Amino acid sequence: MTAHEEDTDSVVLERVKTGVNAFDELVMGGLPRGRTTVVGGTPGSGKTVFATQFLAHGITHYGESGVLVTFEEPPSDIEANMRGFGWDLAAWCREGRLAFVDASPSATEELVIGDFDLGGLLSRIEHAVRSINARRVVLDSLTQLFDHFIGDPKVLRRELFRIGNALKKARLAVLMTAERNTEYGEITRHRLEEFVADNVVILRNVLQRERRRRTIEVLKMRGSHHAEGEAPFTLLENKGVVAIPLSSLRLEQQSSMIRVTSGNPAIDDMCGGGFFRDSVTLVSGATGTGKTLLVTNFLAGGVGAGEKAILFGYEESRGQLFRNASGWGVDFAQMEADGKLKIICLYPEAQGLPDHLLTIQGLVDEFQPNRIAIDSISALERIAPDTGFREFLISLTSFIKKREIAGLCTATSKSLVGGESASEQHISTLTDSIILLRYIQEQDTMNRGLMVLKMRGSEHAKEIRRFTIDSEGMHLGAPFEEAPNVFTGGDVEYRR
Amino acid sequence: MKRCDRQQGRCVTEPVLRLYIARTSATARRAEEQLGELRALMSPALKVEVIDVRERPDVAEKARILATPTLTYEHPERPRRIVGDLSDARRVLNFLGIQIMGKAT
Repeated sequence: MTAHEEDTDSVVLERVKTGVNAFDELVMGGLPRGRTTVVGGTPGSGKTVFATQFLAHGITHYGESGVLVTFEEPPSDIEANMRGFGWDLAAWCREGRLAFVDASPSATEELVIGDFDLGGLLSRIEHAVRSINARRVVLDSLTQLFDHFIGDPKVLRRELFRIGNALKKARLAVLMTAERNTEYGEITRHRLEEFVADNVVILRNVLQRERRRRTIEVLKMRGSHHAEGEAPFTLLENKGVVAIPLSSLRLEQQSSMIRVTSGNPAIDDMCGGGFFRDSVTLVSGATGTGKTLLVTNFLAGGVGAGEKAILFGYEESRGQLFRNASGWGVDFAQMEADGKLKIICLYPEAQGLPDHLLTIQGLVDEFQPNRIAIDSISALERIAPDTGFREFLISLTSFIKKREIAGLCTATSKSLVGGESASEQHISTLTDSIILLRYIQEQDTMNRGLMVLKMRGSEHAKEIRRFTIDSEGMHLGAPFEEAPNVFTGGDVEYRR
Repeated sequence: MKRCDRQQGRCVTEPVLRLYIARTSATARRAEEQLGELRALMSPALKVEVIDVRERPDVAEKARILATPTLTYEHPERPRRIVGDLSDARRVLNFLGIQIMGKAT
């Protein structure tokens, strides 16, 4: 390496935004200019969409023109395929903001003998770059180029290295796509990332529990830091690639000391004066212990204090929720009519988890509530693979905190007496407060008990309180005298 | 090149043999020499052009040239192209479908 090259390397790299916000965060602001990035993925993993979005974002947001070198599909096909994402490539071509280099297979018969170089391709790319003063270049996909010159992988490696260098020298942000055979294995076919890429990004499209799970991962960023792990993403109409940030990376949420009511004065007292405004509370209990009642109180308490509240229900229909609420003296219909409440009921199976998250985020940003309830987290868990569920919870809780709204989630424990739910294992470290609702056996009667298990940043009552439910809602009574074990159901013999 | 028939209102393309090279590259000079050997074996009436892709990238774009050297035979019915080593003149001409005129060597 010459002294000159070292100099250019030590300069802080200019970051080029890809238009996939969560991805730009993973790579500390965007792809570096003057570097090459290889995006690898199996067929159908979204490489072309990601690559086109990279160009489209430059065109629409930064006034940076782009060159799209297509080896696979002719430009007319790409124009048609990308229209659904809201990108009018043909119009950008007319306006001189986008130029194609058409390297797709042609009908002409061709014979390849001996040594050659890709001088023709390089000249065409450089010509296109000059003609529209492009700042971004995409080559999609290199694998097709290898298939075209199938007998000469060595020549192609040498030539791609040359093309990559020429484009880097011209201070372009270069993105190349390459095909992979398997989701977990060799990085790309022909191992071309080894000689052409400064950075390597992997797109995956894995079938898990009969559901497609798309993720994006940064494998390598030469000379710079990047976040590790697979971030889930989805392909949306008129948007393209929308990734979900791995929010666990940044615990930057401010902690508010402002208290809001849980909707039940007795529970507020147990929590030391109510929930914190930007906290997430988990209510865990077996079926019928009163979780939905707590949710109803939480919503009504907020509306009663002049706040706006939103509920995402995944277990019961609107009709059922309204009927339950009126049974406890709460009029959801009137609150909705007043614009103070919004209730959304969805089947968990209606869409994948990333889409559920985007639905929640979209409606929260639209309705601007002060509090949000989700009933229940467990219902969403059943549609998702474990890792996907954990990412969903992380993203959801951090979203709620960032918006500085109070969140309440419910989780259903599997056994009727005691026991913890799987959701609880996942979410207990992510939530600020945990309230347990349990059936507790005393001699020959079954009672309900409530306890505040955890309350981050605050004192809270440690006892287990008896409670009853009637037509006016929940009534907390005296603590249990002989402390039962709420985790196993209070069986004294068992505890030994 | 194109010759347009005004009465018929359409254009007929005359066959042309084009060599695309990147003049600064190592293979370019050899390819030009090899083209000279090919010309000795074919009809002098056949039109031949040499295009330097560095100078005329627009022409390379239109012809969708990836590799250099590429020898194209732009024939209206059966266009063909050959990439790389052109030293085996008979093989090259046979593949392109150009009649061999002179003596066999």
